Amino acid sequence: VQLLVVVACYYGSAELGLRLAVVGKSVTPLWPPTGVALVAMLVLGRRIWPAIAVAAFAVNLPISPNALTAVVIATGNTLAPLVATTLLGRIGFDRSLARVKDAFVLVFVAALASMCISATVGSLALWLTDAVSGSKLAGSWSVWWTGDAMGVLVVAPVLLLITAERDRAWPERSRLELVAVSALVVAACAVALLGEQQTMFSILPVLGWIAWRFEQRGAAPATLFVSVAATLAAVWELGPFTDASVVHRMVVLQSFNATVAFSSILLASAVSQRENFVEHEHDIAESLQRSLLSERSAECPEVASAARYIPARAEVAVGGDWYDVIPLHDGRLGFVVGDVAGHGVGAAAEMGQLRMVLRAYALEDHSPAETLQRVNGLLRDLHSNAMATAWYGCYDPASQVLTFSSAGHFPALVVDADGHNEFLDEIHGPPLGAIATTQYTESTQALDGAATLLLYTDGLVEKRGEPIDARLDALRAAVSTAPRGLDAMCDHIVATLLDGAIEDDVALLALRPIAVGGPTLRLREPALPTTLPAARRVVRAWLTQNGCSSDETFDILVALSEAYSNAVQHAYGVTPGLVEVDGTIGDGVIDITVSDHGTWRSRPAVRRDGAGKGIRVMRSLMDDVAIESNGPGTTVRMRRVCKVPSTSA
Amino acid sequence: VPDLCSIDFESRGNVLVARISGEIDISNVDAVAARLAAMFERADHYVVDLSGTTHLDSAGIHLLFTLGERLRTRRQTLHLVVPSDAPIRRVLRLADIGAVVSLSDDVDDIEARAAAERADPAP
Repeated sequence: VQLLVVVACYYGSAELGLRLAVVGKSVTPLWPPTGVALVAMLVLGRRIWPAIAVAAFAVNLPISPNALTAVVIATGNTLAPLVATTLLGRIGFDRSLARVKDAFVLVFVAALASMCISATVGSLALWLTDAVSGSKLAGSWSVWWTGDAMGVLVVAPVLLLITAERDRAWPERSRLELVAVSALVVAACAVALLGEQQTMFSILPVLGWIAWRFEQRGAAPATLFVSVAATLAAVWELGPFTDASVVHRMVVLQSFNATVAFSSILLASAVSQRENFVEHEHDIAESLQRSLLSERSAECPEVASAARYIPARAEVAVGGDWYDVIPLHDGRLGFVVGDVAGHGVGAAAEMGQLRMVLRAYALEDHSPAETLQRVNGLLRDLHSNAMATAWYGCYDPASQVLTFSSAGHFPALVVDADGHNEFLDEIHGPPLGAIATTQYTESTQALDGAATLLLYTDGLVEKRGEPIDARLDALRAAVSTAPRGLDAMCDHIVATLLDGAIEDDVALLALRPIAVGGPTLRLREPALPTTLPAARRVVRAWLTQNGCSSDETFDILVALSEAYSNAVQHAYGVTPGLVEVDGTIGDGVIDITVSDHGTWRSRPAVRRDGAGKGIRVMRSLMDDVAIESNGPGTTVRMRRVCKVPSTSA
Repeated sequence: VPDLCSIDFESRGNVLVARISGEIDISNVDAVAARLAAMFERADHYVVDLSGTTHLDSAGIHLLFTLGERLRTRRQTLHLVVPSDAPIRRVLRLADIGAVVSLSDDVDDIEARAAAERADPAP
């Protein structure tokens, strides 16, 4: 079927081409079948050549002196696109014509060089059969050659465009512009081709505009239209072609068509290449951003968090916004939000470095002020040009106090359970990297389990043409009406403040300490060894806040670890499920259950070297231990009576 | 994520002391074992000082048992230092670890014994 379609296209385009014949019946200044043949081979593969050969023979048979000549001409017409396709493949031609290289290759290799073959073979065939005299051989060759070459230059880009899979929708505004510019092309053609010769090239600026705005998919059809119009004008001896000799008409027409095709294709490719480069850079910066931000803020069950990162539109390079949640020693947590000055890949890379440097100092247990101080000092020592605003806070769940320091960053917002909110206005120093010798200070803020802390970057609150104070008020208003759930709250804030217009990157981080002071405890964690320390931290905080002594807390935590470790090691296969820890405390009786939903692969046996001793340890440290395995899942129930103050009224 | 525990090594004559501060559980026991094994090559006496260890469960006990057995086959000795009032002593006692390794209140005691042994090598 493909072969038949190719034959039909080739034959049809040949018929059209012959209508444009200037000299005699068969020599035409524009021979579309060469374009059809080239694209057919590029898209469907070189194996399609018999179709081209058959079609070329069928086209040439009625207009050739004899059948043998038609065979020779058809051979030349098949060989030329075959050679062109092979060469393009070797060079690494891309059919989208999105690079300047592709346009050059199409013009010089496929059109000008390869078509020498068909012109030479065809002209010699006609000369040998005396259809063309020796003196006219050179002229015949040049018309043949330019006709075939123009067929490639004018027709191939349009066909490549049609067969290309990449299909972007036209924006509304572009569509209007396209209609306007199409009308302009028709008008310009009319003026140029019906008027005097001097006005002919006035069409070039219009084609330039189309190539600039619409790239290849605008330039290719426009070029085809203009070339066909010009050729028709030449055939009908209109406008600049009036009262001129055949040779003169041919020379003017070919130079005009060549200029149109060269400049359109090359300009459109240059624009595409530049656009692709900008897009590519945006993609790099954005994926760099995302790879750094997508890490799960793992192993912090003490704090619930939600984050939003929205990169700027494609035309604007992404910036260096970042956020981070850092689990610190003793169950404390670090929260970071920052914004590196500048945009693009450079800013994204600097962001990655700053984020890690800040993380490293934070993990060394430095206070927020000291951490920012050290980051600033490191930037100075490295002679880095990076500059960034940053906010770093450290939250201690045990005392429920937040200690924070701001290096020229926008103020964090504290929201209570009813949506009342206030900014933590203090600024503790200039942006990192701004002044080499800066002493950062810090502030503290009580933050109970009902409070939410909101951190954000300038993209959320800065809007061109609006004073920043009004925008910060708008943020407070949006927060006061936001839903209580952290994800819903983030969505509400983003939707209210940005209403679709993203001028700069936006990072938003919402954090809420989980209250562990109540009489009940509920934890759901992946059954992995790495989640055990955090689970222990949460249970420790719960026990401490319920008045358990340190010895009692120690015993319960060891027993918990045994049950938890068993669930981690025995319950699940390769895919981990959940470990569920539930606790209740009342009248000094603490009940803790550790459950899983897997099937223990082997019941841990008590051996002398300590493996499997977990159950014995549990029984010794707790007052009562019951292990139930019913169906899928095992539940360990542990009870301990403590000397805690009575919790009943 | 911060390290759950830190290990400091100190060499005192023919005694190598490893001080473990923090917590040991299934999430870090393999890393702790590897660090101890890498250092336990040259000395005659090895001391694991658990004075600063705040959490120890059967994962850690298994580690200490394995280490004690391995050193014993090489005719080396493992000593544990655990203050008598430390909560982890309860866990160690439950596991009957005294059958494999020796338990002391502080490092000086072990060092004195090791020094005496060097001055008067056992027959």
